[in-house]
Amino acid sequence: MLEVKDVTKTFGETQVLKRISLSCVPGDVALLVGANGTGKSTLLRVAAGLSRPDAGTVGRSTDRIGFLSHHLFLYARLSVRENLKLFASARGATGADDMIERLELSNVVGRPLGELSKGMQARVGIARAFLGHPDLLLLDEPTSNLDEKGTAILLSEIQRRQFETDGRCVTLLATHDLHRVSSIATRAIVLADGKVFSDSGSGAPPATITRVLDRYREVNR
Amino acid sequence: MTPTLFPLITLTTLVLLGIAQFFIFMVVPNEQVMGAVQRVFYFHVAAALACYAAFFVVFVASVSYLTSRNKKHDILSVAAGEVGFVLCTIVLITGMIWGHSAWNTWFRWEEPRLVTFLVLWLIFLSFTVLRNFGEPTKTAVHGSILGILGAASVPLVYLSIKLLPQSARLHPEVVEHGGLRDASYWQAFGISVVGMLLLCALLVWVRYRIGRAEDRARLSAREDMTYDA
Amino acid sequence: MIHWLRTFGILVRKEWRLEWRGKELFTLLACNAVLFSVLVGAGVSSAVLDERAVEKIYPMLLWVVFMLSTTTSVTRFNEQELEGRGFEGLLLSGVSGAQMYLSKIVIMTIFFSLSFVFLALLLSLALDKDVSGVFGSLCCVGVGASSALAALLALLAAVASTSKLKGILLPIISIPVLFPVFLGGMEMTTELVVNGALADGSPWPVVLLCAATLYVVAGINLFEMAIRE
Repeated sequence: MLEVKDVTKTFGETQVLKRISLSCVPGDVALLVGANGTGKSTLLRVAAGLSRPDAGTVGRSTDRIGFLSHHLFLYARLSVRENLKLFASARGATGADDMIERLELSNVVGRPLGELSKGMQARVGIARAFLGHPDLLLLDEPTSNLDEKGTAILLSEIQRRQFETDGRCVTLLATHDLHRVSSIATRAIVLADGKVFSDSGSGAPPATITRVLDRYREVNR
Repeated sequence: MTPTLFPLITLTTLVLLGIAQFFIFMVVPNEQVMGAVQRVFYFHVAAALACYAAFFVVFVASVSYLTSRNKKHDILSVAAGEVGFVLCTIVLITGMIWGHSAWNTWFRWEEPRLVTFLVLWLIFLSFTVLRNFGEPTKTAVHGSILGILGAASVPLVYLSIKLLPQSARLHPEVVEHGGLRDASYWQAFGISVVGMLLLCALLVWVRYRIGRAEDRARLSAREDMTYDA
Repeated sequence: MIHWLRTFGILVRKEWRLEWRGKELFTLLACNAVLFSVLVGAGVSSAVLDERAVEKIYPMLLWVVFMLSTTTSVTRFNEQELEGRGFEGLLLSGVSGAQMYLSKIVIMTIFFSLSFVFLALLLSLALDKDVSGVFGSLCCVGVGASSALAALLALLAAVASTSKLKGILLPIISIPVLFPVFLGGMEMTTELVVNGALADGSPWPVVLLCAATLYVVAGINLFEMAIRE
């Protein structure tokens, strides 16, 4: 479960989040959409505890967080295996080898991360985020460097986590890539100007999600 | 803070400093060996004590900012840091004036307290530089960290300089050795110290109020931008 | 506790690998040592100092060069964390800032100590001052001072690496605070070079220990605040 209450966050002169409140229940696969600068990334960072809110509170029922952003949270000089082993050991988890196989990274496993293509680096980032059986997935534009196959792997990993947790995993996925990821969504949340603009609610039927997303597209046209 | 308190403290400070000047230049007799230059002692020691007080405020405000993240505490630590820097400069300059008269040289590395204040001055300087060139979103936290480190190092800096073999006991131990024989010396000294401490508090307060006003201006500018949008 | 130690071990290995693959700190420290030694050698030869003067100037030059070389080289050490923001991945994985900080100290101490030994040798060549008789003790002093230096610089490098001035800021904010380490190192080296051994009851090892303790306590408590947003 994730409970964001009245959170405000300011960077320098810009107030990015304006008393935003949001509650996610187990099983939510929520799409977080909004134009650039509406606070999606900041909201995810605050929700993960990486960024301290100026005001308001964040409540989480778990510390096992899978976080993905355009920063890979990896070390360019370490090899793919060394990176994944490092983060797995830090979590006291195993399964790095398993993850390498599932994300089809076996061919590049000994190469330094910095020498890989952006797409392959993004896959390693996904492997890192899904290590240690996370119960809360906070994914910030995870498909931006991924090809079709990479996107398919990502979506199947999200669904795998749902399956492994008996549908209790919470996923919050910020994206502009609606046509590729909306198939797995059970909720859509639209942000505008640091606040929730509209929300389909948890477990919304596809038609409601489509309506919310269509409305967002219309406003941003 | 009550609106009457500020003019009251300002007035008290000005009166005390005025009386101190009167005592220093009109009442206190010339010192036998040093002559008129000895009068710089009253500014020198008072500024040094105020400087230590400023360091203490930086330390407390920095710790309390890091624990509470209350912006006011950060503004207070900036204010005390800047005022401390100015006071430290005064201590150095008056110390050098004294030194030139007593030892015929502006600066002596054998003089532990003068060297200590030079290092403290550098610590205040680095604090001010970091405040001005730090990453804007992290300046408050980073400034507080340096504030804590700088203030916590002061006793060790003083001790290590005092332990140097070349550190002769050049510093006149006026107060400890009962050097102020005439009663007027004591009166002038007491009033100078209280006046300077009050001046330090007043300057910190003024700088704090400026900081708060700047902060409020930033906030209202932000609200205006939101309103326009 | 076992998990803590295991994670700590993994982090030390990670720091070692990052540095060993990039060899940036290593290169900067080595190049600085060579560069400064050449400058010092040329400068001292033109000053035509006698043997007695060189004996006294060796410790001072060693420590001035060592402090400048380390404080100007180390910012890069923290920048690898910022490039891919690996530290945030570690924080999310349950690693504490204190563990990260301590692992950095271990690696920095190793590199600083190596750099000290290299520099001590180079300067003894440049100044034609034989230190072979006290080399073992000199290395011990170097390792002790390196650990204190690493304890402070690991913390302040995190502060400086996000600033607009980057590497240039680190010497400005660290050297004033490092004064006790500088004086302690220099005095112990002087005692070794001039007398052949540390003086009985020399206070400097205690000063160094106090400084290292102060920096480590500060670092353990403040490092995570310095790197977190």
